[in-house]
Amino acid sequence: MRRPFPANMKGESPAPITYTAARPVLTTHTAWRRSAACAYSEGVRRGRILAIKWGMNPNSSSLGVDVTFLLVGATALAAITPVIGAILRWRRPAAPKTG
Amino acid sequence: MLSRGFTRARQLATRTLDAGLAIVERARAARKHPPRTSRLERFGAILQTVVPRALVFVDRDYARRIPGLVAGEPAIWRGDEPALGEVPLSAPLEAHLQLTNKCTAGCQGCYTGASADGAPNEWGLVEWSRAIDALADAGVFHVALGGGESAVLPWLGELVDHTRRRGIIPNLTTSGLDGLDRLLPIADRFGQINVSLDGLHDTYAAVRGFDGFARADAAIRALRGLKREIGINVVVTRHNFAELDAIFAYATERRLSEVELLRFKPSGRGARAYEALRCTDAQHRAFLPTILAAAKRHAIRVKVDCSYTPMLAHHRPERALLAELAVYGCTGGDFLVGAKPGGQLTACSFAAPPPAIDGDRPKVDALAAYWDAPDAFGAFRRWRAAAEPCASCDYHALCRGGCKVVAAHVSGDLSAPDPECPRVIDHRREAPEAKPRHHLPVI
Repeated sequence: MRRPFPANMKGESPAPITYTAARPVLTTHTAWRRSAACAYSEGVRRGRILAIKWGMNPNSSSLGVDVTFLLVGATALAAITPVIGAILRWRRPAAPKTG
Repeated sequence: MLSRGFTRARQLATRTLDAGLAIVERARAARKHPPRTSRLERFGAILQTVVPRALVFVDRDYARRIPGLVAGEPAIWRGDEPALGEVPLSAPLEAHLQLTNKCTAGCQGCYTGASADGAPNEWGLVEWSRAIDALADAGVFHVALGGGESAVLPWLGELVDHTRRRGIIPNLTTSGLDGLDRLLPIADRFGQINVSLDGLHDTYAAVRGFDGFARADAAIRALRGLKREIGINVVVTRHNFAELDAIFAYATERRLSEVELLRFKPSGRGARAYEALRCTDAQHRAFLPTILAAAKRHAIRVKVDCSYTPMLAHHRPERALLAELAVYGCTGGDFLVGAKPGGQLTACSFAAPPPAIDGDRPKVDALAAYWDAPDAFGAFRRWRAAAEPCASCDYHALCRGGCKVVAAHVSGDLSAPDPECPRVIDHRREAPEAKPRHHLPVI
């Protein structure tokens, strides 16, 4: 798997990391995901997971977001999203809401 | 080389073991008091999973396919389906409750200006329980309890039990300097507890104004002995920035679950200490690469607070990736709300309570009545009406103009662009109007 942050992470000191190197990988990957998702959903309207906010925020002063995924990039997120989808469907049904 | 590889493998193995055991702890707690699992939204729904711990935002088509979630066409879905973030949520995801302003630590940068006496007219257990009921009825998923030092409150355990019973997951921030004897017996009732640790040894003293590292460290060790989901909150200042890697190493050594990095805000006593403690522009530009390198090196999860979004956007990450990770800038009065010790509702913990409606300032136990009021939360919800360079920024829909509290302190205007955003700094350096005017304007 190509990593979005390659060799410059391996040094002892925090080497400068830019997203420039990662962008082609992320852009291509995201574009593929979008086109695949659209093509699939046109026929059967399966819908989409829009976002996943990981963990909880114990900090009582501001909203914390987990950015660890920026290390591994969209590929890892793409791999884990179907797992989350499966968990959502397998769990015990919630009480129906009519709003 | 071999020893580095061995250390790395040991780190990852320890992390995996801790994560696995934390899942067991979490599943047990969820069986005892099942948390809220879902909430319908105009764009679709928000679903909560306990293992892994996540809030999942899905569109309407996806929500329809979740067993038992919707029957028929819910009222909230009448009309067009907006994108996530296009309109405010139906209720906040989480509420930050400042249970008390009592704290004896006296930190020089305390954002609430906490003191040993606390604030006048602080609420007690009855009022906060009523607030929890209101938040549960509104559909809030999590609360973050803080202060002051809320660990000293004798009724904290009762409030936490009530919160769990109402399906909300309670989380806590503590300094670890006081109230530890009361906190340890109830630590397992929280989702996540983070201890504020703004540096190691002398740096702690430089940031906070007194040497409390040994006591905070003792509290971390004691809490970690009882519970796995313990982390640290680190307010990043110019003094501890160079030490971030060492702080990550410390967190790994103590087998903590996460490091949460917070930007220094000019609020409370922090307003006076702001110029001396805030990070430099160069540090802000180097923030993301530094923390990602440290997180990778020490194999630990890293979280950043919402006010750091301009510093993330500075590196031009893929916008879709940020959106998929729900990385937003200022979501005060939308994804989150705050409450002062007397129950006054705020857009976020650093913000002043919004103006009174009908002569009374809104309280958190009447959240539902205020949430949909015209111009509720004022400038916090008017982020779309942004000035340059935010108006033309590709990341504005995510960043929402950066931290309004910093903007208000520096420019006197909550709606002004975040003055510490690298793009804003570059724009002001280059924009003609930013240069001193040598001639009177021609009218």
